[in-house]
Amino acid sequence: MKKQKAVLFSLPVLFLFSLAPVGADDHFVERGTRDYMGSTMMVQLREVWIGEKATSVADRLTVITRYDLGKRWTLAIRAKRYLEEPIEQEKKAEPVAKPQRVQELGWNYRPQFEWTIAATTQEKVIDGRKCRLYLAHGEADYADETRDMWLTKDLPIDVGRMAKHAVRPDDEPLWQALCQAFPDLKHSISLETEVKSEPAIAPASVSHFKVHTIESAAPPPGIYEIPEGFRKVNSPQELTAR
Amino acid sequence: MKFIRHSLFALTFGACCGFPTYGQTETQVPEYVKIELKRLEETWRLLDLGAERIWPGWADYRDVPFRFQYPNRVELLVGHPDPPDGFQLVPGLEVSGRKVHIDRRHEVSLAIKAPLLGGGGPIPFGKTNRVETVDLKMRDATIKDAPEPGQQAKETPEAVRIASENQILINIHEIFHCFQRKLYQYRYGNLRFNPDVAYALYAEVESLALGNAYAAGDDSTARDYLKDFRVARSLKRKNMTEVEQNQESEDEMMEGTAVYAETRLLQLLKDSYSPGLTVQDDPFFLGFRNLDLFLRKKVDSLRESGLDSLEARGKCYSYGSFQALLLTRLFPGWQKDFFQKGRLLSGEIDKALALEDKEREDVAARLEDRYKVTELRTRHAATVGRRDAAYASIQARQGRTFIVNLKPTGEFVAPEGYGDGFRIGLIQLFPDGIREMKFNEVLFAGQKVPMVEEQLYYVKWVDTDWKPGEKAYELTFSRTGGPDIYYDAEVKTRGFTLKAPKIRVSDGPRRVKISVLSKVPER
Repeated sequence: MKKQKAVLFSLPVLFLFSLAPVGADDHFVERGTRDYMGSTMMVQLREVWIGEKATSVADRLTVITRYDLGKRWTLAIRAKRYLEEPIEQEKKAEPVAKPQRVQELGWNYRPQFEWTIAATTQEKVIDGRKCRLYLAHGEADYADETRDMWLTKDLPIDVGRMAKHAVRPDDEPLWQALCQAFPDLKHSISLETEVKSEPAIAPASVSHFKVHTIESAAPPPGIYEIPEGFRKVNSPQELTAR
Repeated sequence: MKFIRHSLFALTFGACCGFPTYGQTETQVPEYVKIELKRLEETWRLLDLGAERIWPGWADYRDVPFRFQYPNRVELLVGHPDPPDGFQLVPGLEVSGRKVHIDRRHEVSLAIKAPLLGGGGPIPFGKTNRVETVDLKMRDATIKDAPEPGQQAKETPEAVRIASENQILINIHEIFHCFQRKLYQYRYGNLRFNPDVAYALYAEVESLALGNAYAAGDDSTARDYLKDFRVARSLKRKNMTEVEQNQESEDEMMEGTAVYAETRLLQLLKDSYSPGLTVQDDPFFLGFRNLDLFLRKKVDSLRESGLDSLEARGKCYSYGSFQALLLTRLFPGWQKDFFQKGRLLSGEIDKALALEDKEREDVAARLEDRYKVTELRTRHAATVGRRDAAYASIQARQGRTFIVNLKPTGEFVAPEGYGDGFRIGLIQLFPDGIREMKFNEVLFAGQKVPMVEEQLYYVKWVDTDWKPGEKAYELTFSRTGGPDIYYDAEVKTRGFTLKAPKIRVSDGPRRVKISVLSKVPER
């Protein structure tokens, strides 16, 4: 009987362990401000949790990836909606270039920056970590951007996997250029960044980003789950509809 | 700062009357600023007369701040509760109790002379308290035969084109946007759509039907033409996505009701109006004497918009306003809770007409004869075909890319082409080339080679004769000013010559980018 009880007791515990990653996960929080047309605004906070079986990246939308379930959930927090997509299918699917409708041509300009990156000898200590300044300049046909990045590898986490998630999707070409120019920076993170942006039409802006938290810690309960009360939707348009 | 040093007391008499009040700072305030403030005050006076009759509940028009940006980079802020850094209070100067701030930090030496006309729209603006502010970029409205000081401009068509009444109507339009935004939440975003043949053709039928309905002598005839409009709209939209259809309807609702506000005001002024502005205040104000002429411009705008094969969003102003005017005429009371309940003009017309399927078919069948649809199709198909061919041919060009960037000067590219220009998205195609573009001390002279204007501020040209390793341009200048910066510069390429007081040349692997940094000489 004793043995039976022990098994019965351990089953729900094991079940609970199987739902959530065990132990300490990597955690990163970046805050920012943007100076634009005479005023300073807070930029959407970016928070990343990385565990063995799941990741959660909170930005304008929150993306939870559950490798154990083979699913990715994209959440619109305010609207309490989420979109579910299988990870496997996403890998298999070949991108199909749709013929562009003439009705849509010429409306969406996304700058394709060519990045040039220079290392400086300037160093400073940020939150006890030694950083070096790198200067990046991106130039596109109708836009320019410069970035001053204080990069470090001196971090208490798995920097390689965090760097992959901490980078905003739009910044990936910059990081590719950075790693190409300085391969040893592949596993580094910028603790402070100044971005001077001159977009095609809108006025110039200056943004400042600072990493406030970078640690290995136990994740809060439910961080890799869909919060209660969220409604499932069927398309990205439905997810972000006003 | 010099305003602060010389500040004295405001004239209380003017404050009581509601006109701009000046102390000794008056002498320090440029003439164009004085005129601007008076035009704004006249805007408010006109809305005192008509706002409630134009749209029930429209009362807070005096609380909307204005920001004026001038070509010499002086900025003016009126009635703003929290100006950003750089704006200095103009002591003793108020407009109806509203404070005036000025920012001259970036002023360049450029003579500014009235008349000025400006456009723009509401933006959230402020240091920490970002409030909806009408943001207007003012431009020199060049005129021949300018009147002597104190003399009124003659009422020639040119004088009417640049008359201050136009600016007052723009002010009203933008203030109305701020009123809308308090009641209505944007749902769909701006229309981004290049017309196809069906769109261009039936959009012209729509404009003709709306024009006929507006001009109709009796309500029954007006209603009949409105049915034509409604059926033409269904045919026009056959290649539009649902999102694009909603965007178009929302743009018509937002811009159309703002133009409606202007037009209704003009109609109401016929009843009674005596100008508060005088010739001494503003020689370019004609006192709204020729109201029919201003109303006629609204009708002409509807017709011209219908003729334009390649413009979609631009149609929303006149199309929307005439839908609103017809709703007022045929279905009074339609404005009640209109914004609050998120309604759209086309939806209101649908609801009011309640067309059955059979009637729709009958109306569709009569469009051919009534509007000469075959003839219209031929004309629009030719223009759309030329646009598409121009786009394909310009996209196919390979070689050394040159970009001329005017954004640092704040000037939009407004080129004169050798032949027709074709708009597609935010690109203006010039398959025969750009002849010239000139402002202040900047001159761009082009050859007869295909070029594009894109993203409002840029010209792009691809040199197809360029050979790798070859220097594709010649640069001359009087002096340098840091890396890649050149003063009194001239850049010569096979496609164009650019002269400007100050430029930066960025010669990269993918493009040569020439940014015009100043439009006037810098000492």
